[in-house]
Amino acid sequence: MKILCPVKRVLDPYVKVRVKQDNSDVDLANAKMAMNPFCEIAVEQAIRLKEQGHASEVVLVAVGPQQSQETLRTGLAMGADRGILVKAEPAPEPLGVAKILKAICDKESPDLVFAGKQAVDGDNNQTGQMLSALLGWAQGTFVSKVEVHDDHFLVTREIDGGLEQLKIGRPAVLTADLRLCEPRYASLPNIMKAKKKPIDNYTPEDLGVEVGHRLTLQKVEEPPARQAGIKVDSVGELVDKLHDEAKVI
Amino acid sequence: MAKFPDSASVVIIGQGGIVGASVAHHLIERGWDDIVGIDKSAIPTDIGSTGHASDFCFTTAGDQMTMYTTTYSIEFFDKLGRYERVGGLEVARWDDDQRMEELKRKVGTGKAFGNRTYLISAAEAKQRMPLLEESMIQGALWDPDAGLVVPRSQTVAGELVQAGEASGKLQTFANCPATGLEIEDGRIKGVHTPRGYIAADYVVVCCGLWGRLIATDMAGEDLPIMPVEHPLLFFGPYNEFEGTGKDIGYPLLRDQGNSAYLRDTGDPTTTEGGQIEWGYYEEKAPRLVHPRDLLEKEQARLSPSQHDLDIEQVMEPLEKAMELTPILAELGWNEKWSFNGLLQVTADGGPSIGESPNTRGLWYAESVWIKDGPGTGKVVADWMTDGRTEIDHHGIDVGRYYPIQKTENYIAERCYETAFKIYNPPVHPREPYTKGRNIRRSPFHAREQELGGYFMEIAGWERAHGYAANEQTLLEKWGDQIPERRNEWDNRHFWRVSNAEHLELSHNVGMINLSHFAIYDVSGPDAEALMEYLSVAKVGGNTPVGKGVYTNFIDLTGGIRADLTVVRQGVDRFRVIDGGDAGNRDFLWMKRMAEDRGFRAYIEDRTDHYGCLGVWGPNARKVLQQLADRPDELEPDRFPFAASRTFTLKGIPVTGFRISYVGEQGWELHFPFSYGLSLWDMLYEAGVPPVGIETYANSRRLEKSLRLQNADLLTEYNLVEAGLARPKVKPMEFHGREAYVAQRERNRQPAYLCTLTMQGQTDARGVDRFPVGPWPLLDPSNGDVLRDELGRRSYTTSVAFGPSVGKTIAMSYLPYSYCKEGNELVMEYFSEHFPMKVEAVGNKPLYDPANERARS
Repeated sequence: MKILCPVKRVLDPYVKVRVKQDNSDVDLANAKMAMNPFCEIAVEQAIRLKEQGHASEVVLVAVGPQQSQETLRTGLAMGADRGILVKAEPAPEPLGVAKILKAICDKESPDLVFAGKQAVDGDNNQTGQMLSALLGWAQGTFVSKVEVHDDHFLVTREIDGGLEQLKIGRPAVLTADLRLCEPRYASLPNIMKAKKKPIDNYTPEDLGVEVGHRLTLQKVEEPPARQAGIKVDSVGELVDKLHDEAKVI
Repeated sequence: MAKFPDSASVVIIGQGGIVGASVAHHLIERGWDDIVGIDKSAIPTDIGSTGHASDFCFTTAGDQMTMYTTTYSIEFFDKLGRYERVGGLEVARWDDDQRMEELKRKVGTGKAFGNRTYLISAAEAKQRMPLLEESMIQGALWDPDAGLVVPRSQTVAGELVQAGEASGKLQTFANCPATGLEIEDGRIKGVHTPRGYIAADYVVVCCGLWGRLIATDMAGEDLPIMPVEHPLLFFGPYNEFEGTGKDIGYPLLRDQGNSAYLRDTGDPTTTEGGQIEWGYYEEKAPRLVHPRDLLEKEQARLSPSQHDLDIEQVMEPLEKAMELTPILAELGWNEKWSFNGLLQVTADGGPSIGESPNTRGLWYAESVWIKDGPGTGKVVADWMTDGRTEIDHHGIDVGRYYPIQKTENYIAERCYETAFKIYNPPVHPREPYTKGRNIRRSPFHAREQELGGYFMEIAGWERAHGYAANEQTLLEKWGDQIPERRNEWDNRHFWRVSNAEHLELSHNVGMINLSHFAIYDVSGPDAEALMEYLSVAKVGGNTPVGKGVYTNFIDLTGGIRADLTVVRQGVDRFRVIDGGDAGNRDFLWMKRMAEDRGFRAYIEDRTDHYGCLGVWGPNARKVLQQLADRPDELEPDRFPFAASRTFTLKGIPVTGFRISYVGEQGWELHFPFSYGLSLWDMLYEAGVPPVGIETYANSRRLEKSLRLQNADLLTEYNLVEAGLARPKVKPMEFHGREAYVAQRERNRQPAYLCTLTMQGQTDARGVDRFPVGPWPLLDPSNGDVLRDELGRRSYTTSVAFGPSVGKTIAMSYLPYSYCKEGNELVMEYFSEHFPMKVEAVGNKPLYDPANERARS
């Protein structure tokens, strides 16, 4: 079984997000970037499936700027076998990414695409689903557990109000949720080995994909700063204010 | 919540770090009250270095003060139950003999200054630290007192502040930055904050990485310190100490040859547990960070003192580290936890502590490691309370820097250089800086360069230690009396020609560039009263105009604070001629004394107005008389020893001062800077060879047993011990008089400064050794370091080979019972023992003991 894992380079989730002066976008200049945490979970799960003997190869795909290669190396250091970088700037929208991934799937013929449920930058939660539709494959989103069987996957999904089990035929697109697994730390020898693992480079044109931009980003603003509180003199006053002004009681 | 105070006795800025907390604690311990602590962030800090520091301590300090602050801090943490004394290892790899030698040196230095380190075999090291690859190392140093502050120094800082608040003597305010200092007539008045103004008599800046900004933006001065990135990496999961509850399980491991250290973080259930921490100090291109570029808390991923880390920055040393500690290859790298921690490096390796040179009442405690935090708090509190500290503070005093050493470019260059030498390579005691050079140059500099001067630097001044041009002539002439130094360390930053110059000067004449002298002119209605009050020797009263007097300044306990020469230039005019190294601190000592005691005197720095050239040797008078417009003025009866007179040499005006630090006939010629080159050329053409400063500062100084402040003269010792008590006590009042008189009246002193010679220099490999640096003196009967009844240890305060005497000469304070001429002792030098003989107790030189040559 061959597993394909799309991985996205995003702003490190622990970094405070800055907005560009002209409010045109988030400011990524000199900011620390990292692999999207949900992608990391999917990669970890794919590697575990390989270690358990279910998979023979884990291939990573990144779509984005040249530096996305670092994100591929991170996954390769964790234990993936090789990488594919599709260089596309500015970053395509989810549909564009899904089309690129579709083209890669056509080339690579994986048995499973294991993606993150969403990227923490745009929080779109669309690419996996769109890819599944484009490929005409079954999909399992928000996966918190996966079992591999000969002709199907048995997955547990986290849904509102509980867990849902699905039997999904192969090939399939699965998207990882937070509790699926805990990504490992790559060891130093593996970090060094990862530098030598192959990465193929493509552009969307190479793949015959038209990455049309359908959305326009109008404006990015910081959330309003929290206002200073006030001191009240008595419990009565507090209750009044909570009732009349805050309208919470 | 407490009302925000509008006044305080002391305001501590940077209350949340280990230094601020320790300063508050010790001020309270010394009886201070009404202290207000503020911090720009949380208390304890969540943004400063204390918040992320690795928190381990080693006692391997290279000087007495650091040994004091480190060992004090360790005992302090320990008493609080916040220290895990797991011990520590420093290892030397098989391919790094230099490191093995350095470990031997550290053990020797430890004996000199007071720790318990010793060398152990690779097998013993492996036994103590199982993560070590035994086959990689040839030996190790074991520090039984090394350990970890647990759970964190941040916790200790918080507890100290809480206890301070509970005492009612300290109030603290977090999220309350200093926004300005109010300074009036050179004195601190208070601190502005967003919550209001606090009037204060004292302000102590303990702001770590931000300290320089307080100095530059609020006090109009600078501090020679700079933050630098220090990679800290974590590897896990490491479950060796699961269930033990420990913060650390194995001893600390330093691999300084790779500029790296490693430790475990104990039980995985503790906050940072279950990992291996590996830290590194960049050796090639350290990444300094200007404090102006520090981020605010909300801008930083982890904190403003924790920068992001790119593993490529450390891959090379990490690969080396995996050879020594294979566990690093087995575990996974925890990228999210790893970071570049900011710590502070300094222009000369020492911190910036003490009162601001420009603003009275404004104190700094900056650039301090965790291991020195509580000790520094103690030092600051003692210093603020008593005006002195238990150990001489010359090496940490913020006043030691001249103004030029506090300029942007100098700070950046010097800090860059100290940053890449934090762990590796071993720093030689004579090691010159390569950056921040050629700043202050004498009028002769171009000539000295043409002569192939071997330049070293002190206080910004370039000084030639010898001249290549003399190698053809003088070294040829005197070479058979000058031993070769075959050991590379002994010979490093030493030039053999210096000793040839030394001998030429003793037999003929030589000229020594002394333009680095710090010169201060003191004048005004109370000049005489001030100088008399400062000096142990009589400098005023019936002291004739034109006489120069060697004197000391002492502190109120009689500790030796300065040695310098005071020349009376008029009834109310004095010239202070001082060493380049000590000048700025002595200038501040004089200035503050005048301010505190209401003396109306002007103290002017004239260093840049006057150059100085020493002309000495048996032919000095003859040569100068050939050039003098009135040769008869230089006759001994017309120009007595210690006199200072103005005369001309072919029209060039000089002030000759007939004194000798080299024990030969001759003069210090002081002259206005513009005449310097002409004077040099005239003397050079008259056949006077240039002699490097090596002869003056080391070889002949030791032959004459001349004591040097900050080396042989320290505030821990009194003048009687140093052999510098005057025959009589002058009748006038002077600073420290009472203590001085009491010390003189003792039957005996606990220790005396003695002159010793090496009785055999050959080491186990058959190589003659020429020791450099401080080394311990041992009792030959038991190998113990000598300690006097006050616990002060005996070590070589100065050591040099004297070519005229033909021996290696050392000075050291010895306990009273060892102070007998002819007594035999042992000096440890790189783990080997060398026999030493006490040649003189007190001030008696080996060369020309009657001082006839200088008076000839």
